[in-house]
Amino acid sequence: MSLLGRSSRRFLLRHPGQLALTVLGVALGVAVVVSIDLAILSSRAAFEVSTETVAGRATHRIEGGASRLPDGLIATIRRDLGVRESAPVVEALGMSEALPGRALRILGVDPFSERPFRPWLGGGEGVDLPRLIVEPGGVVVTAAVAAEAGWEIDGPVQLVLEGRRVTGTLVGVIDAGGELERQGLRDVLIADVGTAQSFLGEGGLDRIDLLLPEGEEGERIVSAIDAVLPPGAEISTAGARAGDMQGMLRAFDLNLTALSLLALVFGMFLIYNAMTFSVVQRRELLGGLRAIGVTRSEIFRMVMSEAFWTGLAGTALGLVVGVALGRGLVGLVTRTINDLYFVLSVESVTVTPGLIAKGAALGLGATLLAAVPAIREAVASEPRTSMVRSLGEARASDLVPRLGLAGVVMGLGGVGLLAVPTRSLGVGFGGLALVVLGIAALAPVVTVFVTRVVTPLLSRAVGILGTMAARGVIASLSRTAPAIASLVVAVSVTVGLGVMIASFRSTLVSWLDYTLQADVYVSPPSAVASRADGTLPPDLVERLSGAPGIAGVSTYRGEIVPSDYGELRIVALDLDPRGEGAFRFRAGDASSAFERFRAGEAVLVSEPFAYRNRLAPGDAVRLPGTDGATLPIAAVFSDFGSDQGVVMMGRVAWDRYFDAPGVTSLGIFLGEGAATDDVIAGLEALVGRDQSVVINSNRSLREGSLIVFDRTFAITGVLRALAFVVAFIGVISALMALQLERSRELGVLRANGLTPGQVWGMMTAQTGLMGAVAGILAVPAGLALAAVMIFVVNKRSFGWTLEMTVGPEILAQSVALALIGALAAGVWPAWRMSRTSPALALRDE
Amino acid sequence: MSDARSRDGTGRDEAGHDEPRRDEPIMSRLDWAAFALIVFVALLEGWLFFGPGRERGSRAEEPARGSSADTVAAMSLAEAMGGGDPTGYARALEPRAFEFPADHGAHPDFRTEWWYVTSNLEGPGGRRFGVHFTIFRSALAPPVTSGAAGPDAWATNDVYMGHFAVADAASGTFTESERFTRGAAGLAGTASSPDAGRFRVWMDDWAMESLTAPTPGADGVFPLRLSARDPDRGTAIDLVVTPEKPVVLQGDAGLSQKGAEPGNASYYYSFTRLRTDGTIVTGGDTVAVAGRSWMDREWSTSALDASQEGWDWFALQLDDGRDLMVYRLRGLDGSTDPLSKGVLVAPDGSSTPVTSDDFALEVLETWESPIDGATYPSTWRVRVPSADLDLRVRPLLRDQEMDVTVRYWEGAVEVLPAEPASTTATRGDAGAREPIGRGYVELTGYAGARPPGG
Repeated sequence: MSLLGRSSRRFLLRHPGQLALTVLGVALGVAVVVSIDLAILSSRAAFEVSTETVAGRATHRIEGGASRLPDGLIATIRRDLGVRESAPVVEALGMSEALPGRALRILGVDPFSERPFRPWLGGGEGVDLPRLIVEPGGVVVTAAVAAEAGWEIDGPVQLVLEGRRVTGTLVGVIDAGGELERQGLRDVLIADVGTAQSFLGEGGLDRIDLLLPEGEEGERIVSAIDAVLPPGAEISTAGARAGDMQGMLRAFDLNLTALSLLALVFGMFLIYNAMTFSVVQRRELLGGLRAIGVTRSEIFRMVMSEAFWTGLAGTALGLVVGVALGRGLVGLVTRTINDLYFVLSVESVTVTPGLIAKGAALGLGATLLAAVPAIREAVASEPRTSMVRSLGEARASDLVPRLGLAGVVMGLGGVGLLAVPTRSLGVGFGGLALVVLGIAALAPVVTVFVTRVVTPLLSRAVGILGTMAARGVIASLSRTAPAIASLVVAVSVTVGLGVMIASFRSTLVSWLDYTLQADVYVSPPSAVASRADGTLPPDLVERLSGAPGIAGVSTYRGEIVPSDYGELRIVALDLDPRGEGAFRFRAGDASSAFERFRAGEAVLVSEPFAYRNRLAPGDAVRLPGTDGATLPIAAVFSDFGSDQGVVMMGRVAWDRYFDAPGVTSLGIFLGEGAATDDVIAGLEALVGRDQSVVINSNRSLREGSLIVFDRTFAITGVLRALAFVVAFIGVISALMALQLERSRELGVLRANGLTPGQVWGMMTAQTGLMGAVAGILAVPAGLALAAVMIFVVNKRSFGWTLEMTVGPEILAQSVALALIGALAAGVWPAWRMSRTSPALALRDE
Repeated sequence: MSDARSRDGTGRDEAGHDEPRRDEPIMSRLDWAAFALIVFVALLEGWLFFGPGRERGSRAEEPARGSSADTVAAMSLAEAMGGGDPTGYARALEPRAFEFPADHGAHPDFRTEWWYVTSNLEGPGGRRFGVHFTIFRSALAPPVTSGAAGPDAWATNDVYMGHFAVADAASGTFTESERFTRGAAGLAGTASSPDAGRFRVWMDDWAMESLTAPTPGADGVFPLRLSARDPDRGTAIDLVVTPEKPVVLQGDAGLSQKGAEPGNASYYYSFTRLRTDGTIVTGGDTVAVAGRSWMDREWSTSALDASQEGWDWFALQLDDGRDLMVYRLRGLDGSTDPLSKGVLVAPDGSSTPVTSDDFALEVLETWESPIDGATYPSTWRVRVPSADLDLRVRPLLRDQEMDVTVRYWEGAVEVLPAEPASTTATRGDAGAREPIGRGYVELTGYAGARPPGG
């Protein structure tokens, strides 16, 4: 190893804490990005596995939309069209007390049609297929699921499906060989198609899987099938359907990715600080080296390789931490997907080489990039001048106005970008990033300004030490400004996310207040929190509607169907007049809307639906599964229940277009003087022993909704905390660099009689001042960020309009956060400096 | 951000060039190579470390042919023939009165039954074809007596199995197909009651379907249209069969005892000679064909005794107007079961039972299956002295083995006189014998597992 290399190594080894901080900074930045990526990738992979396993090798599928497919359709397709490779599927979501908290997918299939589609069904000795067909209630699961649930062969399998309690019999276990099958079947119960129908208490199929040839022959068959389909049924490629489902998650994924990149940006701040710090410490050494003839290029290589190795170490650590963190985040991401979109079970995380490569490239790239200023500083050192720090500071103060100008330009550019009338989320995030960077670039100007303003105050309050503390901030602007800027960004992001979440929550609360008009809600137990599965038993609906103490009932029937508009929730609402208050219209004529809605002449659509599809009252909505029927939009209502959008129609219209009787849930209005608890108890007594429904009071439903909301934002909270930690470490290392540089200055002060306490106090005042500046800047920055997230990002991602609410506490919180952050970050350096013996600090003189 | 740089005050810095000099490249090639190598190693390590993630992509191999529901169904059918547990099913214990058209349809109380048609056909220029088309019904469990609750469109105990083969003598090809279909939701089934309209038995787009509304009598469902196709193998048939002789009740007035144990028997009737016209698709050709078919209907719950291995079954249509059916039930020890028997049908349709003592079978040649090496008899001498028949039966193609879930040999045969006619004796042996009839032969129990039917 060369002399230079040894010098570099010794330096780093003698400053382990500093080395650790740099490595930690890189590691955290990389870890956050990798973990988010991992969570997204794993949930996608799990989605693909479960789709592939359950959908099998189908190329096309026929679906009935809101209606079920007639049982005889498949015979027509096979007999008249000669399409042999076709399989009936009945699919339902259910639950079992043996597997608490898990949504189970009941897959009803015809074993004799399965071979081309789901070959795993025939695998293994354990499955007695004839028995699966002939035994009433026969089901099979994988051995792993059976073991987990404690189900034994020939033993009972208790399930709750769409409000019905059913008991099946385990007639075998699937010996799923491949990992794909094992994972994909983790939450799947397979039954014969007839068994599944009897579980559900209704005939008809959910879909027919098809394996069609490619090319013209395939197209010919598709159009031939299309011609025999009953109204409402549609044939589509299997990929299109999976794509629809994936598409639902796009905005969700993008938001997570943006947050993770933000963490990386913080990480870069941190690296920048740490690298600069390590160069600053060696200023003399580097100058000395230059003086004895070491070339610039050699210095460059030395610092570069330091950056590279620390970057590599940090990246490696970050990858490991990121994967570990990712495993935790997968749970949060999956939970949200389950709450909001569809049932998904992620058993394992998917670490791909691509993910590792991306993390490594980001980590190393960011390190090298962030090291550039430090490297330039090191390389620029001339033998003599490198010992002089003041020149650099002079240069830095010259830079302040220019930087401020650049900040203004960036900020305006960001605002301009946000004002562009586009719906692109990427442009939105770009504008957001510019605004944040602009504010950060303004940090030095504001720092100088604020310091000038407060200097007289401080000097009056604390005397000369106050002045020194304040002026110190300006004197070392090249160190303090980045620290302040990173603190501003960190706090403003924290504030912005906080305001956004609080606004969202308060909007949701007020939405729940008016949208939950009924007193009691009845629905089947559902695996996906934000939607109900299947229908209530008709006899039960009748019994419940006639229960004592009830003044009126709204019925709700929803289906999520593929449509021209993507995955769409269509709803039939038989609205009790008492429930009209549940709608707040954002557009449309409120006076006639309900009348036309009830008469089945027009639909009400949710705001996200109208936004996404650029529809307004008066426009026609093409109803899915009706062969092109349309209804005009009467009004657009506020809705936060679904980001895909909802189309609501009167029950009359529903029954006209869809063969889908039954109701999904009931909203019950109590009569005068009836007590909610009494009525609920009365309703519960009416539920048959073989039935299972969820009866919620208005209040418990609202609480449940808020729990889901909080769960949804848990991941945002985690990222917010991580971003703050990264920024905080960055601030510590910046302050350390600052104080280190000032060690000689402080030594002089100590030698002139300042007590350690006074030094400590001065430095604390200084970091406090920096914190205050950051806090002041973070308030407008945070609010701007929140506004952008609320009005641009959320609108573009999900299509809903939130009301921005800013409580004073959140602003106070921001200042406090910045102050406490800066003070806390200054504690250790201040303590160290106050302890430094003046003699030691001045030894070089 | 505020990027602080120390600069010297010399003129050189005025231009702002603080980059390294040109002769000092920023990073030497070596450094870049080392960098690249390290990145590569890091990536590789990451990959190895987290490698198990890759396995997700691996998929279970497509199961070997037959390891699925189909095998189970076929084995169940074989089991039925071999005498699985007959509890819960009706048994063929005594002769019964046949009722048509109802008896053309399914008998769900019995475990298994089939609609069997074989045809010897000729296309333009005398191009010879053999066609075998059988639809089997097999119960997976005894019939449910109490009505099942809930929707029942898909509820069933029946599975249908179809076998369909085309032998083309001109090209020497034999193409067989097999399929299984659930006997529910209109996918497969039978319609035989008068109010169900025309008689038909079908599975998907394979069907035997009456062309007219049923009329009284066993032949009231004819003309019957047979259609089957297998696009994957390029074969199809579309034939119409019409009986030239009345129905023949086999065995004891339709009760055909197969094993010594009571109940190991089937109900069995045949149409031994049906005029046949239609088209065949094979090898890319669509050929108009005409000829004769043979149709068997048989249902049972158990047939063979445990000591029986399989059968050699002959259905021969002679040019003199007589039809001969004989079968030899083989014991596991190679013996011929005394329950082996047959029937001789006169040109006028009258039939005479043939007992095991009345006929003799002699294997003249054998053929080894290329699939599993099983040895099948391939040419026979068939003698029925009481009917003055001494025949040589040889296959149209040697390889007419049904390579299906449970393998057997089912093939078109030529019937020749056993001895060369004296007038043509001077000519070569092959030319010396002109065919005096055609037929079909079924050989089961040679390739391992018990046969699915016949």
